[in-house]
Amino acid sequence: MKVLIVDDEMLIRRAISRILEKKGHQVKLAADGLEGLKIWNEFKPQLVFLDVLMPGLTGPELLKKMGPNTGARVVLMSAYSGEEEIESFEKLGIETFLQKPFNDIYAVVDQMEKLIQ
Amino acid sequence: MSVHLSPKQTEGRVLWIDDDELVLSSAQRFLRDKKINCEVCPSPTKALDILNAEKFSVVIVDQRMPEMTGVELLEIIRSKHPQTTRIMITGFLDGNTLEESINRAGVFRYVTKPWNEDELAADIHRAFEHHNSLVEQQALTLQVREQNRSLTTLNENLEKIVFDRTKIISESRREVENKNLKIKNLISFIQELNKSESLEDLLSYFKKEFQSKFSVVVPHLLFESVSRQSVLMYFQKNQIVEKQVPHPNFIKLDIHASKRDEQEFFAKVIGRPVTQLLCVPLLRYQSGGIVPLLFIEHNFEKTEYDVFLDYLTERLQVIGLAVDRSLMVLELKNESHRWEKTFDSIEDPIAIIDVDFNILRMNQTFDQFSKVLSEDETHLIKESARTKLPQKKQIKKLKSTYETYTYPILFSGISHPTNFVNYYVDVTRQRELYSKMIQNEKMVALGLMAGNIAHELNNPLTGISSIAQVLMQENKNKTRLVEDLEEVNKAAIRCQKVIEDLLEFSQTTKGQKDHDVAFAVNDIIQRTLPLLKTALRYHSIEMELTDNNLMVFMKPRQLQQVIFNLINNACQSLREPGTISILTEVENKLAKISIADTGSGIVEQDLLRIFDPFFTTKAEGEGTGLGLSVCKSIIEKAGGTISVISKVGKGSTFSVLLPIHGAKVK
Repeated sequence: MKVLIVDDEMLIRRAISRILEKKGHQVKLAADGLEGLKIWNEFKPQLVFLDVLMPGLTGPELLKKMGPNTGARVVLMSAYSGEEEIESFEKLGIETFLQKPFNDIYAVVDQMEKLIQ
Repeated sequence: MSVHLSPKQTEGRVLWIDDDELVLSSAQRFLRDKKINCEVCPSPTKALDILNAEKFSVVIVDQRMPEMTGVELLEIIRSKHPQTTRIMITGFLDGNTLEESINRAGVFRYVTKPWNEDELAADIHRAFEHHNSLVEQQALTLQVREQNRSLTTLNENLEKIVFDRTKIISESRREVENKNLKIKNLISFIQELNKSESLEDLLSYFKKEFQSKFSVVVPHLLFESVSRQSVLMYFQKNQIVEKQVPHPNFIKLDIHASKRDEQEFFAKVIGRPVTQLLCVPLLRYQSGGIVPLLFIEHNFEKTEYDVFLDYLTERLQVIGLAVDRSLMVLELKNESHRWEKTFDSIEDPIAIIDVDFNILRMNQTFDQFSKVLSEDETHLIKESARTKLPQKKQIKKLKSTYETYTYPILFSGISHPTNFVNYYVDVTRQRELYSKMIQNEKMVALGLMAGNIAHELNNPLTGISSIAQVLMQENKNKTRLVEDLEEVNKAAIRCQKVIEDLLEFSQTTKGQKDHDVAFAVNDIIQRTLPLLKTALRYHSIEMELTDNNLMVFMKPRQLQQVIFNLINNACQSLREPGTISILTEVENKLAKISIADTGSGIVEQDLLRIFDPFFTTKAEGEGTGLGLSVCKSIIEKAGGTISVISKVGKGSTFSVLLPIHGAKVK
């Protein structure tokens, strides 16, 4: 499975990708929204871990640029919480919202894998 | 009566009485020879007639005569003409006759016939001298008597004068006494007036005084009140009544018997007919306003009327002064009453204090204070006395803090202030508000910051903890490394926890867009407990959730947070397995949630700060010190209160009071 991780926090990108790669998935990383946009278009991932607040483009902005029918399932990750935000993200086709910080990264990844299959 | 002293006569006349004509003629001859004026008479009775008609200095009488004896005749002459010196002449010397002549007739000489002419002439001359001395003596006696008499008269005159004078004096004394009495009466009248301060007292005294002396029925007084209304003060069944009246238009400025219109005016006001009325205008000396009028209802006869007018005229000035003074007293009282009311209407405590710290005056709110000034207050007064300038200081009195101002009262002409006005402004609430405001400012700033910090830190922390977990998974066999990574992961999670609290806090202060809803308190408690499973593992829990329909209106998640925090804190205070009690009830129409523990308790000095942000008693890293301040902020926002009671070693009870939803409807 092709997975794209867009997050400006390097340790998060690394942690998620290490787990996924170990499981045999193909993982690409982007450190900001613009890089994310570029890789997303080229790589055509099936699952995208997308941070909200990033330099360049924010997560929701990136989603808008991509438009619907990207063929990818999106997990939005944010340190901010709030029901209102989640509602607006749903309109953007987001299926899962992941609140940072997450205590158990393995549990998170397992959950996401199940979501795809 | 005039006194004629006879001119001194060396020679007088002699009357010789003898019944023998021969003796008489020889006597005449003899005496003529001796130049002695002489008359003769043969009859004693005739001789007595002659003596009665004429004056003779000496009588010479024969003893033996037919009509009467010489002794008998001389005895008569002695008694009738005592000044006439008597000589007895007899032819027969006889001891008995001699004795009788001397004793009965008081003769001057006793001569025997025939006489020796020279001797007899000498005797006659001596008799003349004797007679003269007798006459002189008598004249003197007369004179003395006369003088005595005039002295007596004089004396009598004097006595009369004295009597007259005495009479005049006593009369004038009586007059003076009368005058004194009048003055005394006047003085006691003035004294009585001075004793009576109020108009009522004055009028009562006039009534008593006038009635005791005259046929006065009753006095009335018409005057202008402090509120500039005409008022009639009169007696109604011995009670003084005051009545506001229309200002009468019949005022004349002299004493006069009332006219019909005045009587009608009176009858209308006092509700009974008035017959004779004397109207006495009184001057206003110092107070302003219209002239007060004394009306005297009376039954005078004509004479009494005049006497009364005199009596009244004497007293008119003092009556006027007394009434004037009472009116002024009324005005002053009114003024001072207004001042007092003004004083009292100021809600801040005010007092006037002298330089010895005695409170001279104070308003009502000052009365709650101690009347002994505190050191702070006396210091202000001392400073103000020294500098002659106002002073101020914040002083704690009772349970409040007062901005206390001391103003010196400077009277012109006195160089040092002796009185001071102390003015207290309660700044307790102001201070509370101020500190609350500062607190709020801090909270808002903190809230803004917390949001940013949370985001900035959460990302790297999530990375740290995630990569640590990945590394642990990848290096399962390297025990030492796994242990280290475990610590890294825990540290990161602790940091995340701090941020979570901070974020929570900032959300409550910022007022997130979460909606207030009505929900049952008990439901939220039941939903919260599972989240605390780990914390409650070792402790027993007692629940008394009385009313399942106890509803409150707020954000459920926030109340949950409060309950979570309180139970979690309770668990942490229990170092050994203990009991946590949760109680919900209605208290004073409020929903009350109590969470009690049997833990270590909170020391007194911490109790005051326990709700302050960042205050914590936990070891470093175990708590942010935000939990309880978040709770407080949440509860207060929902219109409730949170409080704690605690006893070291026994445990603490936190109580949350919230308005019951729909309470007003009930």
